[in-house]
Amino acid sequence: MANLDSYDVVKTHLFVRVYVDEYRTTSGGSYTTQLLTFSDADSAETINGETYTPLGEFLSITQTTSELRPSTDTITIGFTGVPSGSIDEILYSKLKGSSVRVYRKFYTASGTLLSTQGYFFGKINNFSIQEEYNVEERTSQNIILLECASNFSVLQQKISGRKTNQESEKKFFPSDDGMNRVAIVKGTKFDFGAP
Amino acid sequence: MSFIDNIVGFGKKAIGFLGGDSIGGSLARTALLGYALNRVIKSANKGNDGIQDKGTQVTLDPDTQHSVPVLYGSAFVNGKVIDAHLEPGNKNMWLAVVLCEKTGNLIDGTPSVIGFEEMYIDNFRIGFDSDGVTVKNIYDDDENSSDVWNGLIKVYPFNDGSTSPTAFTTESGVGNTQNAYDIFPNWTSQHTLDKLVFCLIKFTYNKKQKLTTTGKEIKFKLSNNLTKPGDVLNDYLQNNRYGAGISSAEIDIQ
Repeated sequence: MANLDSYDVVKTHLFVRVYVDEYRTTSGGSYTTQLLTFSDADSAETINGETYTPLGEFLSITQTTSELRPSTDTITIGFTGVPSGSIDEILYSKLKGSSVRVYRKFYTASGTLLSTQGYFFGKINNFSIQEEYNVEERTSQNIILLECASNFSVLQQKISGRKTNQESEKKFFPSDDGMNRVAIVKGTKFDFGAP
Repeated sequence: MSFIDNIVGFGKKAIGFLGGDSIGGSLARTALLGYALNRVIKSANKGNDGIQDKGTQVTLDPDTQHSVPVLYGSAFVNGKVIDAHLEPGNKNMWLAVVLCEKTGNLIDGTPSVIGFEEMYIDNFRIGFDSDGVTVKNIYDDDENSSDVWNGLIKVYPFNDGSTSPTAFTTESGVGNTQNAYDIFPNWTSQHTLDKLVFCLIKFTYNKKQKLTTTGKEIKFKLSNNLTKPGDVLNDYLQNNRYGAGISSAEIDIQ
């Protein structure tokens, strides 16, 4: 990380990487994986060999707090100017749970790259679509909002492990009958040694 | 009047027809009373011989909400009953007890191994016979031994599901070599207990040798070779079953 104190002016751009496990463009289409990379910069840039499409003002990302300890922060990534024809991709893909990484690049006033750092790592928690309909032109534009929860927040809400009962065991190993009788055995009286 | 007087009175009444103070009458009374007493004693002895051992009513209380623990390093783990079976004849009772999760690999890719070191039933440490399965001696906290349960308990440990029989690392015997579903009554190959460390225990009822229940607490000392903090954290972060389920791509292993 460069020492930014020595600069009077720095420019920053945010770069978003969304990895969608199940992506499709039509309701009946088959799912594929899809990597979406975009930024609020005005030109395409590359991070770790992946090219980020410049969306400029069409992309908005809410602020996040920077803390020493990991915190349960959330951000909202907004796209404006999405044509109605592209809404299918949002509706029919499984965006929730997709991995989101946001990087920030620091530049000097003249555009020299100073540093690249992580800004937010998390998963898409929810999404919403807002329509702006132009009555006179009979056209509409859409705003897509991706609500993202940090990995720490996701982990805090996560409950894992299995319990000693049939339902829990079947969740992980559907064909295993090993715990089918736990509830039955509970309270059963065994006449051990009876004649 | 005490009951003693009543007994005397009853005797006089019963043998009144042999009254008189003659030696003959006295002998006759003595003989008759002796016969009656003899019958009573015989009857009492017959009654004692006929008392049957009615066994023990064992009620198990498996916990359906017990979270299967994850064990790293070495620790004592209480077994939680997940199945029980009483064989016809009521003399042999089987328990299946779950101990902990089977953990993943070390960072270098070596699979973790969970070993059975010791077993305790109601705080008595168990010592095994040469087959590594049959209980021979029990030991108290002061290492005083007893063979009171000799041959009455058999223990079959598994360290990664039903097809992973293992042996106690502290015993020299061969130990368990059979699949769990080939041992436990009524189990089939569908009883896989995947990725679990567990134990099957067979108790044989014997009142004379003081084995009349399955014990209140069955405890094991287990040891996992996954001990280093980096290995543990890596396993816990990545495991989808009991951990955080984070992909390896998200973790920067140096």
